[in-house]
Amino acid sequence: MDSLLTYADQSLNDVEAAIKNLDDIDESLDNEKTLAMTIDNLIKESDASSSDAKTTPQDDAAPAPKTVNINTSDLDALLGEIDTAESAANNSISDLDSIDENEDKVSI
Amino acid sequence: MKKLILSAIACVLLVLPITALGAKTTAIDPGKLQNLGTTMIDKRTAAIQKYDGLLNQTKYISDATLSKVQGELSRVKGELETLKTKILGETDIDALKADVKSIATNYRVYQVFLPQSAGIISVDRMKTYEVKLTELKSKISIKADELEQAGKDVSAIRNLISTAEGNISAGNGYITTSESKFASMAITDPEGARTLKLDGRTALISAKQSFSEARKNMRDAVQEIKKLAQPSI
Repeated sequence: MDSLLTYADQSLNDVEAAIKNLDDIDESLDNEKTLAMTIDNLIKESDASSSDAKTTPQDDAAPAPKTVNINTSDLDALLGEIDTAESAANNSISDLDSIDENEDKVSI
Repeated sequence: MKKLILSAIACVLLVLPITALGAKTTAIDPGKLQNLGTTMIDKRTAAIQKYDGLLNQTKYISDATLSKVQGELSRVKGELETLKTKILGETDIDALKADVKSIATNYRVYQVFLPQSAGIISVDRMKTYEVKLTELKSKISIKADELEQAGKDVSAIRNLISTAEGNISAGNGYITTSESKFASMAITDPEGARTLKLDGRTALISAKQSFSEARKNMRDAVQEIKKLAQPSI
């Protein structure tokens, strides 16, 4: 009879242990669900933030002032040199026109 | 009788000045002809020297053309100096007259050689003008590229550059024509030289007009660049 009672206790302990294990398994299942939900949320947040990012360049392009660093002083200097070259060309034509071929007409 | 006397007096009055004039003609001072001859020669050799110096300063004329033109200037200058020595030693009036006349007719310095030299020098000035315009065109193109990379619309600048490029190309053609005309002028054909001079000058004027257009277009392009380089809001 004692051995029967001992066996019954043992079995009861086993059953309790099995139930506890079962509870643990449920908890872990719950944890996995939570984890999965967390991941979903993270993905959603990530999507949301990435879609926000897509709109950023459009926002940037509109009103922000854009400066192009172009130095034009060399162009102005060359324009000055061109004015001088044009003037020299004009003077050379005037010089050509000033040569009087009548100097070669002599009557003695 | 009165009439006869008056006629005789009139004849005497008419004949006297003619005789005096004849006396004047035969009494030409050789020194005056020598002075006239040396003055004409000095004036020509000074002008030749001036243009020879200017030809030495040219940058864009071919050696062949320079050699031909300066070779003739040197020859004419040398021959005129020899002629000057001859004139200074000459006392015969007829020989002096012929020598002085030959200064103009044999050498055609003002009809051929000076306009030829001045024309070639003008061609060189035009080429200098063209080189500067081409340099500016390249610089404007680089700035246009930079602006385009920064997202600016440079189509107006590109159009101005393209038009200027056409102007420069046309001007270059006129310069080539002009150089050919001036280089072909020769003492052997003075009348032909006159035509060549006029043709060369016309080509120079056309080149100048083309380059002026190019200059205007590129000045406008520079203004466009300045506008686009300013910060946009």
